[in-house]
Amino acid sequence: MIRDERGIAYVETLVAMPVMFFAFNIIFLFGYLCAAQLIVQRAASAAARAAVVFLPDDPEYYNRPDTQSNSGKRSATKEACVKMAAMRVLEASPGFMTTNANDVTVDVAGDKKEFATTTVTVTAKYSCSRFLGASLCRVIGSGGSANFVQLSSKSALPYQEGMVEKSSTQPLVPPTPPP
Amino acid sequence: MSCAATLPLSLPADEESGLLGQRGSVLIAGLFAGIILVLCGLHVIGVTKAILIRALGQNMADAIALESSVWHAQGMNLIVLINLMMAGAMALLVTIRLVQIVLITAIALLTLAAVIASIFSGGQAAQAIRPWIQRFAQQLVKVQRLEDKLSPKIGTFLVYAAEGERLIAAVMPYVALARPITRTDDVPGLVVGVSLVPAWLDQKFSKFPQIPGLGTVTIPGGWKPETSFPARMGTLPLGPKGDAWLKGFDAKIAKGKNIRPGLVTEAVDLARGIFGSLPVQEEDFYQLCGRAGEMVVTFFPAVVGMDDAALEKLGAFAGVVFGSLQTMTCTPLKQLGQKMENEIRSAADQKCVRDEEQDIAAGKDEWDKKKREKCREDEIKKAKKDSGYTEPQNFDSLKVARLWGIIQHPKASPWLHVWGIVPLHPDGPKSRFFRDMKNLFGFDLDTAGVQGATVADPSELDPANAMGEFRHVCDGGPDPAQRSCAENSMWRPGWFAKLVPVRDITDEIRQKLGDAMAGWFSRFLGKGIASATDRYLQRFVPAASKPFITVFERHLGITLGQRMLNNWFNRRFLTGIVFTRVNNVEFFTAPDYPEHLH
Repeated sequence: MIRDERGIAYVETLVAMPVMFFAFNIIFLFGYLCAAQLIVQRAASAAARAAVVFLPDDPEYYNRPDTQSNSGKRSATKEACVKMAAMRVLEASPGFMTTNANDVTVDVAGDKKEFATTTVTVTAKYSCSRFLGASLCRVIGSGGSANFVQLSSKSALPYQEGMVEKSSTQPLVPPTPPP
Repeated sequence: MSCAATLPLSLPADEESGLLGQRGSVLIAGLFAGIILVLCGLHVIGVTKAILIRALGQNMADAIALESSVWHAQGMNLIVLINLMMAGAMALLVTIRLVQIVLITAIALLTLAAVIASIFSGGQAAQAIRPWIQRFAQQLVKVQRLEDKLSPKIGTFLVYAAEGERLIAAVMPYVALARPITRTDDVPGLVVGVSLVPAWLDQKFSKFPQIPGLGTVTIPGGWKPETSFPARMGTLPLGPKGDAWLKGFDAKIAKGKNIRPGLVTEAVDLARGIFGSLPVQEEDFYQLCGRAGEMVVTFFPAVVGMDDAALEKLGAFAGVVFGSLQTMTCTPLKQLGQKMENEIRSAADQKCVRDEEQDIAAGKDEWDKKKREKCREDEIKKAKKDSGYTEPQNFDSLKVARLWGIIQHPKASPWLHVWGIVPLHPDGPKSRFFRDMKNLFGFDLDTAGVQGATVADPSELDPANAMGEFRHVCDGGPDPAQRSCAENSMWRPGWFAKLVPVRDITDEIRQKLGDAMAGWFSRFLGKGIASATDRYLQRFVPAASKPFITVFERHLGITLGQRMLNNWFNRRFLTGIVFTRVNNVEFFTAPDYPEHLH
């Protein structure tokens, strides 16, 4: 009876299955993390592009008439636009936590001068709730009871700048050549 | 666990069939694992590809918009440079003219001094002054010869330069359109369905046609309405012959149909204007003269190191003075062509008279009218050929470029925007895994909530849009001569292009069209009132009539018209009509953008 080999494959399968499942789960999660990292990289690229497009833009387009300058609320509005560019990518992608304001951070660094390198860092939380991901996240992620991994990526582009005319209230005056 | 260790090398015959058979059990597990691995790989590949498409699409849209804007800006800078070159060439003539004025003034003063001296000293002092007068007179002749020598060459250069400006204005938008299209070749086969049509449509901003005139409408009082917005330079240059033919044809049609002359020319201009141009229009001759004078006056102070602010003030003052005194400083150039033409004709007449006299002296018959005409034509033709003379230039057409009147302010102008739009798959960076799972196995992970944060509205994943803008660097208000940034923009090579956020510029267009219509109709109003008043002035104070109309039309009428029309009539009524028309031809497509951008 003890030499009977019938069912040995089932036993082996039973023993091997959790290990294989664990291994596959790691691979699966790794695949997801790879994709998530790519998405964060894409979000950083989009945010960097937004930074070099929005930040040098005319302040007057940002309808907060507190000042003509490029500071204050107008500047805050522009920075919000930069973050929005990253959020659009992340919100459209599964697994990213975007409901709280602190889930995604976007930092813009660099001199705001023509052709100066503008570096944008996007940090986002990626949820590991799929399959056994949560437990794995505790190992490879931020630790503790968090079931997410914090992914971060940087992107850099040259700042585009041009001087902006400050007054915009000149009336239309047709050319008046002398008689 | 390896596959070789699990699989027995041989199985008992009774186990080769039946439910208890174990063969293939690991294969099933392996298959399952394989499918998971493949799907996992597909997921990563799908995300990568989606991101790649997205990034390339964005880059492509950026490239289309930016490059197109760059070509527009380059075109504007080229025209600025040609303007400056024309002013530089003109400055040579102005310098000669200034020297002439100085010499003539010196001769006049010395002559006066000689006359006064002869009265008091009996002629001795006058004799002492006389050599000086002769010297100055000799110098004056030399300067005159120099002018005669230089003027034709400079005149020819100015004509070709002006034509060059028109050519650049007309052609550059098409270069700006054609070049970015090749950008789509950078990503062969990857981005499917890239629409090039929007790139064409978006450049409509630089192709807005002229508004046609009122044609044959007869206005009581004899004044003619403004028939179009300030003429743009975007009409393809036809050359002197083409223009002459067009003018003749216009006159013929006007005579035959009993309509106002100029209608055909306007129609042709309109047809050509539809094809668009850079936003420049023709500037009057006085501007060229003024800028040339500015160059002359500021040249030496600049060499000796006068500071920029003082130079700018001096130059602005000189520009106004020289521009206003164009009759004295720049007009000889205008008369040059006709003067040479007259000289050749006169010489030909004399030659033919001599030839006829010789024939008569030789006993031949007197020439008839036909023979005299033929001789004259032949001699004129021969003289022109021998001297390398070309047709007299119409120097009234020597017009430098200025920024199109409608723009008048580079900032926030919708006319300077160029768009590039690349529509992409609305799924954006969503994983191909979800789509494959749905297509292959029927698992709709979206509805199962596996996707996590979903996008409620596909429009939130807007396609890769980009908007370029070309504008002039302006660092503040008007210069010391109160010339605005717009007025100076075609004299300072500072046009550049940049990417700007995609925004709905409907209101800007509406406002700009309102301003344009205000300018247009204010001139109507000014002319109308001036014409009505003119009738009474001509009856009582005829001498004051013309100056009054000039002043009124150009200044008072415009101001009054703007006050009355700009705020209400144009914005609410007239622009409504025009704007509806714009919408109907799908002038542009602006995506809804977040509220805080408006």
